[in-house]
Amino acid sequence: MASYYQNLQQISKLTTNFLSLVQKRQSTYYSSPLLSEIGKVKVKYSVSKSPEEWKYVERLLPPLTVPEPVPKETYLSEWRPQLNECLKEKYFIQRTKNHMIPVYLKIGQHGIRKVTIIKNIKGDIWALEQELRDFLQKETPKPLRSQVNEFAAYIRIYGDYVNAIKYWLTEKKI
Amino acid sequence: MLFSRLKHCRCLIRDYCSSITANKSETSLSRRELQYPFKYQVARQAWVENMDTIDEKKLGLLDLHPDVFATNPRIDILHDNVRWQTLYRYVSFAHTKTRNEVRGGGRKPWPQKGTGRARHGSIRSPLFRGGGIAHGPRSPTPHFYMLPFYTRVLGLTSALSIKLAQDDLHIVENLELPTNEPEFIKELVKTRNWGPSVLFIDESDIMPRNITAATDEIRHINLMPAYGLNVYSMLKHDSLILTRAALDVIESKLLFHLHRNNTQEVVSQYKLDQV
Repeated sequence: MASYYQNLQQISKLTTNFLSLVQKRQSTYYSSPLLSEIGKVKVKYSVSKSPEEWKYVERLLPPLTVPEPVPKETYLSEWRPQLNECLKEKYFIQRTKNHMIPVYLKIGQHGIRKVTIIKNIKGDIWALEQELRDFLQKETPKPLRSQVNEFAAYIRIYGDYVNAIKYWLTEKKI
Repeated sequence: MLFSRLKHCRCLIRDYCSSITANKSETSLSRRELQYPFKYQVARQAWVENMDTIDEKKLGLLDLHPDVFATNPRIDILHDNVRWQTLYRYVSFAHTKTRNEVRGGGRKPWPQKGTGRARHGSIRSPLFRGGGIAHGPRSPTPHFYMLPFYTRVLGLTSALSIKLAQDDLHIVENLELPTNEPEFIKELVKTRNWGPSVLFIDESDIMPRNITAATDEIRHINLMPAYGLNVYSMLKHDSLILTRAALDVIESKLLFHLHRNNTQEVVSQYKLDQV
C-alpha cells in the first residue's frame, strides 16, 4: 500500500514537471498573463502630462473624420480631387465622403446582369444622362438602356461602363 | 370684437408679457462656421427668434449646412424610419391554440372502417369545428429589427430638410420664458402660426423651469432633448423649434456620421443582449 502511495506521489511530481514543459501559446490576448499574475512591472517608465509631448501621440492617432484632400502637382494614381471647375456644368456629382467618384457596378442574376449606377447627382440630371448617352453610345452597337431616378438622384445604365464613365468624368473635370 | 378678445384674455396677456421684456433689444449673434466644405449647394439660412415675448423678434440670421438641412426629401426613407419606429417596439399578443392545446380530442371519434364516414383520429383536428388552428398566430411575436444606421441618419437629414423647406423649422436663442403660465406659450404658438402641435428641442434634458411648467399640461406642445430627436416625432408635430445649442449639437453629430472614418461599429450587424 505504501509503495502505491509513493508511486502516486511520483506520478503527480512527474505530471507537474511535465505540465511546465508543455508548450504554452502566449501569442493571443487571452493566453497572455494578466498584470496581477506578473506582480511588479520591472520596465522603467515615467508618466508625462506635457501637452508638447502629447502632440506626437496625437499625430499617431487616426483622424475621426475623413480629412479634406490637399491639392498636389502630380498624383501617383488616376484619382484627382474635385476642383471648382466642376461647377460650370448644369449638373454636379457629389463625391463620397472618401472623395471618390460615386460610380458603381451592380452585378445581379449570378453575373449575367451588370448595371452601372451613378449616385449623388445634383442639378440637371437629365442633361447628364443625355451627355453620358451620347458618349457611351459610341462604345457599343447595342441601343443604350438607362434609367433616371430624379427623386433618389441616380442614373442606372445597363452594362458595365464604370471605367468609361469615370474616365469621362475625370476628363470633363466633374 | 374687443369683448371677445378680452374674453379670451389675449390682450391682457400680450400687455403683460411685452411689458416684462420691453427693453431687451438686439443680442449680437456670432456667425456660424460650417464645418465640412460643400461645393455645389449653398448654405441654407434661418432666422433666430426670441422666446421672451409673444410677438416674434428676429435676433439674427444663421447659416445651416446643406448636407443636413438641404438634402433630397426622401419620403421613402422617412417611411422606412417611421415603420421601424412603430414596429421595433411592437409585440403582437394574438394567440391561437393548436390541436394539442385544445381540450379533449384524445380518442378516435368513430372506428376507422365500417361507418361510411370519413376517417378521423381526433375531434380537435384543424378540420373540425372547435378544433385547433393550424399555423395560427402565437403570442408573443416580437417585430424587432434594426434599421441600417445610415438609413436612420438619412431619415433625420431628410426630415430636417423637409421641415426647413416647408417653413416648419424655427430656431430660437433659448427656451427661457418670462412666465410659467400655459396661456403665454399657447398664445405665442398661435401668434407665430406654429400650428397646434409644436416640438421644442433643447440641447440637454434639463430645461428651463418656466417652459417645463407651462407645457406640462398641454398635450400638443412637447419638449425633447437633442439626443431624442427622431423622424416620427418630427413628422407628428406641425413645427419643430430648435434652440441654438441644439442646432449645433444635431448638425455636428449628423455631419460627423456623414464624414466619419471608421464606420465599422455602427454599420456592423446589430447584436441583441450586448453588454
